[in-house]
Amino acid sequence: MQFSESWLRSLCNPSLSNEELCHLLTMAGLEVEENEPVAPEFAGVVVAHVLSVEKHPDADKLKLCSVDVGEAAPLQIVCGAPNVAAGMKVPCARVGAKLPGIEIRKAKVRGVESYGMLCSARELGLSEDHGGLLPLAADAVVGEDIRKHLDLDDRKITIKLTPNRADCLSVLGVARELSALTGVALSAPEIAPVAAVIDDRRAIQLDAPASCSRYCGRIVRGVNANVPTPEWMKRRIERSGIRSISFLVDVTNYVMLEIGQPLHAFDDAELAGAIHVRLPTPGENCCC
Amino acid sequence: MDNLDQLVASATADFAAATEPAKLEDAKARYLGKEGSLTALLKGLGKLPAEERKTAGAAINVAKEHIESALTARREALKNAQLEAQLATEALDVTLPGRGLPRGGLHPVSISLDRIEQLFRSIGFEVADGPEIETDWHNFTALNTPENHPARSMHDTFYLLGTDGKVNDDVLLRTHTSPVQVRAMLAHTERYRDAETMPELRVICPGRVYRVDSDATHSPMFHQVEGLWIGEKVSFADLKGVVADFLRRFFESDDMKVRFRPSFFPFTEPSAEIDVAFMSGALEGRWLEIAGCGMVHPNVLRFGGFDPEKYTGFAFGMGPDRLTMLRYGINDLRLFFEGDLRFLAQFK
Repeated sequence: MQFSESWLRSLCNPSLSNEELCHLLTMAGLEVEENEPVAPEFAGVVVAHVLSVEKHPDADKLKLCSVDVGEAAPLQIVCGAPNVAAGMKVPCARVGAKLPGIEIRKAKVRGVESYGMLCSARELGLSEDHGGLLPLAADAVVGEDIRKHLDLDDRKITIKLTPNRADCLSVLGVARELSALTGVALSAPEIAPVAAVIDDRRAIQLDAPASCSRYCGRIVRGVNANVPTPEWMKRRIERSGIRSISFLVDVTNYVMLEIGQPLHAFDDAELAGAIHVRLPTPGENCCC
Repeated sequence: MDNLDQLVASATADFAAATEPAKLEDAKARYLGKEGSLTALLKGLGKLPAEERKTAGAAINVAKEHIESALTARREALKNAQLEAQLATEALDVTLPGRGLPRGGLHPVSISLDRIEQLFRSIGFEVADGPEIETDWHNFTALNTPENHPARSMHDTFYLLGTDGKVNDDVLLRTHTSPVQVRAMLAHTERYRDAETMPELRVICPGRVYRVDSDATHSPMFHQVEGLWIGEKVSFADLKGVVADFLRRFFESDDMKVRFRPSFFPFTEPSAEIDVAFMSGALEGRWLEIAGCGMVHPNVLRFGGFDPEKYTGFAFGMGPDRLTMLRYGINDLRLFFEGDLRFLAQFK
């Protein structure tokens, strides 16, 4: 079971350091196997707003950007990223910033002064993506420390669960344990029942009732499957070791990680007949 | 016939001058070969008048015999000289004593197993043995792990093929030494079935176990030592005392830290894993997992013929491979199984 420490702390937040927290879980039988930061150490990187982009007078691939980092005057920064465009919000390493492997200084790039560096995800050590600048949300607060904006002081914790502790196969389960261990109140997500308003039903057939005695489903209409997954949700599921795929898939995975209830969304238009819940046949490949 | 004498004299001289067999054969060819001078004389006999032919022939044959005997003598001489030279260079003292076989040593894991047995014998444990090919019942069911129990997935088991060539679910290579516990309990309760009192059961079971796993820290075959103590007043405190004392004696270290961390095994309740931390050396301060243990589950006691209302017990299982690695500072488990003498000879 892998999860984000900050997600766990959103449900139960005892005043323990990361190390103390991991020790407590380990000695309670939830052995912490891995405990690693989500981002390498760096400082001096803030949310920046690209105000304008012009061509560099002496270089084809470089651009001169005027960037607002939340100070009175915008900074002039030379940037070679292919996706840099006026209006976008990106991470900006200010002069003096220490990134993994480099320190940012005031520099002359092909004869033009540059006061910082606009960063890709790889330059911040967040992923291998070096295709261009890391685009930030449009509502990101200019000048805010990127570590705070992207919650980069979080850690990924992996616990090695024994077969008797299936109750801890969710963030809520671990939080419940943590609450019992520390006496700190659990702030479990409130789940308000939503009455069914659609009468359509799709039949469900339990072909292996001994293995699955209960399976619930509901038809939901009017869902926009094309909206992007909110960044905070994407971060939480990615820090739990699951890739973000699309909004609907992400939501089902998020709920599964949060409360431990496996669930799945099907496109009703693609289904024909009843949903059969059965065991695989010998040799059947279920991971297509 | 002067030239015949001359021929014999020159042949004898040439042979004497030849210092090695190949040169001698070259010289022979010059006189006795197909194109040799003596052969030419023999060929010339036919041209002589009939009355001279006989005497000339006899003379040539005498000369030929001389040359041949000179050749044979020289061949012998060269052969003897060669043998002498060979004997001189290959002087062999057959009276020297033989080299004998080098003395072998015990495998490091065997050394550890011996130490473990000796340490436990000294506090009253017996050593028990069991088959490596086990039944499913002994390996799982009697250890409170019925079919479909999720804990079965903790072990990747080797099952055996039956005589019909199909996988036989009932027969497997034991995945741990715990089935020997079951056998020891059954034998003990059987032996004292009609007795008024039953002595405590104290036993360790060292042996090979098998799992489908292979990398730098896992081998498909590895060793385990199982320990079991059952009696009327055996508690977790006894478990802690026995195991901690054993570890300090095994590592010959008094300042070693031992901790019991809650865990889960189907055959014990409560269960713990045992970690040790050394206070010095390369691994200083790091917690290293070394064994699993716990109080024997009532179901297991029942399967072993004990009344769980009356008897309690503890069990532990440790990996002597890992203990050996820590004791000698070995970092790759595979070294134990490669049979490299350069490695093994260091443990004599």
